[in-house]
Amino acid sequence: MKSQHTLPCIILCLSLLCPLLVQAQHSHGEGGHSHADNRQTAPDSHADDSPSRGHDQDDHDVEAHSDGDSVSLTPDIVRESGIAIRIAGPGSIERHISVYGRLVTPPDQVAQTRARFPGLIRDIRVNVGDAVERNQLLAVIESNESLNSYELRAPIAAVVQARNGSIGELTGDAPLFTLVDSSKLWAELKIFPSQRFEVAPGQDVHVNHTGHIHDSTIASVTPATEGQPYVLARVKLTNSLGDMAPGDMVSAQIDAEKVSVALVVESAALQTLEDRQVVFVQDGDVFTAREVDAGRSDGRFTEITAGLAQGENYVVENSYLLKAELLKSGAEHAH
Amino acid sequence: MIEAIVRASIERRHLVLCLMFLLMAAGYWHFQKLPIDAVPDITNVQVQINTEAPGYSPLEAEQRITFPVETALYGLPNLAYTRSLSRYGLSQVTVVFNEGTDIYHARNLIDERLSTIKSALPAGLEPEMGPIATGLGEIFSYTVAATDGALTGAGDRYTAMDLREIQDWIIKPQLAQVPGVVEINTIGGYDKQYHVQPQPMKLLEFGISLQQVLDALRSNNNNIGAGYIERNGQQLLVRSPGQLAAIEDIQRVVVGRYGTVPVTVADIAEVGIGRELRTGAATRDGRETVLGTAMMLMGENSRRVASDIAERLEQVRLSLPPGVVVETVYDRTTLVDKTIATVQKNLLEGALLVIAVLFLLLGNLRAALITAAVIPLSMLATITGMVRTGVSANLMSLGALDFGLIVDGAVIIVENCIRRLAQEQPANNARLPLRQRLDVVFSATTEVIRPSMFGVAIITVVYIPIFALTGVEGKMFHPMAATVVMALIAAMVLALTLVPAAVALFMSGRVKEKESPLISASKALYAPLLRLALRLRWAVMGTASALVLGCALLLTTLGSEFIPQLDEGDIALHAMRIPGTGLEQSVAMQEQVEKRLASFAEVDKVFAKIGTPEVATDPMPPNVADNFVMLKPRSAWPDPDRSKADLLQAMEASLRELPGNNYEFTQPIEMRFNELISGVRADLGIKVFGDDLAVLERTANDILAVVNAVPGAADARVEQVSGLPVLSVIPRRTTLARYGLSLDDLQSLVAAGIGGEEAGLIYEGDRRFKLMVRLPEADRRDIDNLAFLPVSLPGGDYVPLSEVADLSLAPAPAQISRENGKRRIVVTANVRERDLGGFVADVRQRIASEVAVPPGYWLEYGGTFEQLESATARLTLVVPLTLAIIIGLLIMALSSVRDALVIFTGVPLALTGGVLALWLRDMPLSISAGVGFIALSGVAVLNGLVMVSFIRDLWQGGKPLQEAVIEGALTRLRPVLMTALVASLGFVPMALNTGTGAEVQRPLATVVIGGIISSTLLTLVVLPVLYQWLHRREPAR
Repeated sequence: MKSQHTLPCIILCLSLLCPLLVQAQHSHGEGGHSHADNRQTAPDSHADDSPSRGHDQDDHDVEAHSDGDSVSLTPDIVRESGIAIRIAGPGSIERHISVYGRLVTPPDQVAQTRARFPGLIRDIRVNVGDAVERNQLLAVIESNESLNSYELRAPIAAVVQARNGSIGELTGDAPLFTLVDSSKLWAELKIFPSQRFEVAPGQDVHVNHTGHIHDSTIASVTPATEGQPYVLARVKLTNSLGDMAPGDMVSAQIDAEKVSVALVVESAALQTLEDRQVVFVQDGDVFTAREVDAGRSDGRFTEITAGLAQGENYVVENSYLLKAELLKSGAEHAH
Repeated sequence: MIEAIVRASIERRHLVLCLMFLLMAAGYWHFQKLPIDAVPDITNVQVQINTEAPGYSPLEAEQRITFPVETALYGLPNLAYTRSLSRYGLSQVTVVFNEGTDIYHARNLIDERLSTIKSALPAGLEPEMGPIATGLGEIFSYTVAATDGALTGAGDRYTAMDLREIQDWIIKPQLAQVPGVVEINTIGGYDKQYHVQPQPMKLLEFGISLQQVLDALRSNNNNIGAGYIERNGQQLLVRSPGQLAAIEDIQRVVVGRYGTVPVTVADIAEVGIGRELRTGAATRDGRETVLGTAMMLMGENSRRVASDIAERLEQVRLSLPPGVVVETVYDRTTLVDKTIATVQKNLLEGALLVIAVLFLLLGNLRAALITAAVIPLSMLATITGMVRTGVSANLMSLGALDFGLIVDGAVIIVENCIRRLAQEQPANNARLPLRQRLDVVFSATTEVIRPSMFGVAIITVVYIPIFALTGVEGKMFHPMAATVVMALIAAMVLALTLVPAAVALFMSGRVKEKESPLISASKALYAPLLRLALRLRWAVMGTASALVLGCALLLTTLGSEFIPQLDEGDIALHAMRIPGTGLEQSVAMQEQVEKRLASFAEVDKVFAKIGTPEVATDPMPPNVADNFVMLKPRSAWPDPDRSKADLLQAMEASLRELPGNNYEFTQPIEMRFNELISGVRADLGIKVFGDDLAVLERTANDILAVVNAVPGAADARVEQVSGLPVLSVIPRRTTLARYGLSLDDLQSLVAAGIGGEEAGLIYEGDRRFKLMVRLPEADRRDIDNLAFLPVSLPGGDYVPLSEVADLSLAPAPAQISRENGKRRIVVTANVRERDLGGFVADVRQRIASEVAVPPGYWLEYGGTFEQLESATARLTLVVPLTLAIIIGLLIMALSSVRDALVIFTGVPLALTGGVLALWLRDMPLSISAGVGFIALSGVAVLNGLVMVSFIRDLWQGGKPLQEAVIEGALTRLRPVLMTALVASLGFVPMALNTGTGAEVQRPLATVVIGGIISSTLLTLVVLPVLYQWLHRREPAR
């Protein structure tokens, strides 16, 4: 009798409570979702109203490239972000090779004058450091054999670098004077095997000697003494100011390649987008990542062989921002 | 036993009152020690082991540092798991321990293990444990800046480096002494360094290698003490100073000889002050700045520490050079004060309302005050309990306290005492003799003590399911449940002791029960209503059932939210750029972001941390910035009523216009918690473990494809691991050999030349700065010409770098994550419009059949679903168990299953009101609301218990059932109304509050108020009807 009433009562109570419990647990789950949703979908959920029509699509989808690589920015934002535009056009690519070497005196500018016949030095007209003209009298020597005096004259116009002997002395085997003409010097630049094929006589060289740049050309490329791995490129330099001395270390930039090409962009404009080289092309407010084939580059300019036409506007400065905008859905804070 | 206690309290009433003073003193004393913070600490027990490895790429950092460190930690007691992160220049291993592990003990064990592997690590690298702080640790931030036109002592303008020097050597040492501060972490500016920058050509010219320069600097920078000598009784100390002190000293160091001439540093290198290769930067209001953050020691009182720091900073200001300003940008005190103010206001207003209600309904001020006295006393007792059990005072722990609810037991006792005393009164119309008064109080107390004790016990029991929550939810809500339970127990003890004692002591005058007009009116209204209800019992029961069913349906339509968002008042946001973005680029982009944010009129200050600070508490890569947006007080807003959500939306819309940034909005403390807890926050996380990163990535991508194909999958993605562009200088071994170079020669040249190598320290008094040897900026930044970098040969000759090494630029892993000692990549996915369990099972099955996981690789499934599963499993066990306990308690109290069930019907009836209130206020169902429902069930049961036990007593006393029901119901109208009114009015301030932290309390209070209204109405009407119906065929006993 009693249970007749008790039972429905229990059932009533439990049935009333059950939805509550279920809901409580459900809310657990739902809450988990919404919490996670907030975090996870933030980049995507705004893709529609954000300027990016970005890389939500599969990267391997070929069609995505046509419209999936654009960013549109208002002129205000372009200004605020410091995005700078240039016009693509012809230019020249100058590729340099940096090398080091030392200054040497060309062999034809060193003269070691000796007394032709041994004898007594009767007179010496020049001293170390004096500049001498060609055929200028250097010394007068009395031959031991003939006892006649003969004159020793400078074979080249040069500076007296060394003098071995004084008046009254006998000349020995050693050269009496070392004359050096350093008005012209050679820079012997070491060209290592990896650079050898890029260097040839006739190329322009900019030699840096203690901060002064001397422009010249490569006169010759010859092997160094045996056993050295490098070859020597000789560059003639004029020592008009007299500040260069043989033995000085110099660095040089060799214009390994200097070509005029039909289309160049500034190298800062190139960005890598998923293994593709791209340049951002401006068309009104829309900036599109255009895949290009980059050719030769000298660090400042890069030749473009395909993908870009002359006269197109491309982004130079802060092109990274555009790349960042395109890829930003991948930007996350992984803890 | 209970009766003995009550008897003793009444007899020894003076002693009881004295004991109360003791309780107050203890409470006050503990209050001084109570850690107060805004939010509960949800950080797990963890230790971060950071190893700074300048120049190490992620792969090297993992191989050389992370792996040995992780391996050393195997088998630590109480170890839950380890996870690690290897980034450029940093290895961070996070060791998580089981809850309850003593952090100091754990750190000791780690320290011991680390000391054994020192030799296994590369020389010079030192693993360090992070500061002993939790997610609440970052309590104070300030920026160091110079006013416009301020000049340094040397007459230059202040640079970021000068400011950093001031921070490091003037501000930081002073602030670090503040008790409770564990670390002052600096980010921004540049560490001052002395740089020796050899010109490659000069080195060639003199035939000197970089190594020689390093050696020369190292061996020419030392002071030596040489003991002492005694001379004529005097002791002379001997020393030979040789330390380099200034740039000129460095320039004069001889590095070698060229012929017979000594070559000095000045001949071959530029010497000057230089910038470090920094890993982090800070910005404020669109400009670079130096940012200091004080970290609080675990378990300290954040409010006290933060205000101590602020005070100390005032003194620090006096010591700063003129023109240098330190400005506080974040101070936890503000938030804590606001939170405390909210709680205080709620509690105070609640208490006042309770007193007013008691006075109105009892018509006796003394009785009202006695009851109200229970409020502060139980509060003090609760505080004592909190300090003892290590529960901190915060929004969550204090938020659920409703003193109306807590004093329910006392209310019932006082009410009955008053009634009985008043009943006794007219008999002799004079003061009751003491003995008689005491007896009346005793019998009145014991009359209702059982139901009220059981009621309180039941309210306590209903909090049990909260203790079953684990993880973050558990940490958030355990303190709340613990505090409420402590307060209830305290109030119950007080109701047993203080209340009868005080009533006996103070209700000495003539107690006249002035039936307050309110009660008379209610009774006049209630009596006919009850009679009508008894007659129309089917209609009443039908309506009640319909109501319950309707509300159950309504419940399913309510939105839901898991853990409530505590509004911290300020905004934090991550600004993220693509991996591989350089620090300077990031700073430039950040400046744009900040200018935008600062342009909002509501914004007071904006500051950001980019990359990793000095102490890698939060190792972010340079492409991520943590922004903090401090808002002005609402009164200073152009529109003070603007909602925060609206402001956030406007900010986000404005920021989205800026190219290249991604954002994630959060709040300062929340952000820190996320950084520290750092689990998988999606519904499903599939972790792929293995060795080869490429294989891992491929497998993860395969899994991603499969997951994406499973119906219900949303936002599936693979963790980003690659994308850091790396320039590799790959040595050609044979060519090296041909030139007589060793691999090490080449590598150290590249490392020293580009990264720089430390050659010692330069001391300026206390301050010490690194002496670095590094190539000139122009040379080391010029990637195009790196190939031509001359490498010195043993004979003094040189060879260009391109001759002996290949240079290649390729993307490499930006970071390597490991968990439990193995590399891992996580694939995450959320679930939409599908049940999680089925989705997970589906995914598992399809992955098992479709993805070929290579041998040596394995998968682990985790994510929120795991927590959900475990929480569901626990709750499905605990909730019915709790209900069973409640019924069991009721049966114990009434010795009748039937009566117990009658009372139990009060629970769903009470819940209807809660659901309706939520629906009316358009609030989602949250855990806060759930706690409200829990509290509500307790109150409903308490009300029912009081009424049913009284009716039953009357009925058993021989009255006919109908009369017993009506008389019992009428007699208990006042206590039922009183408990209902105090409980609901106590929550009114909370329900209406809009202050900081109110969003947590509002749903709770709303539910309780709504529920109590319905529960009271239904208790008064439905319960008597049900009781009568169930007992209609029983003869009177």
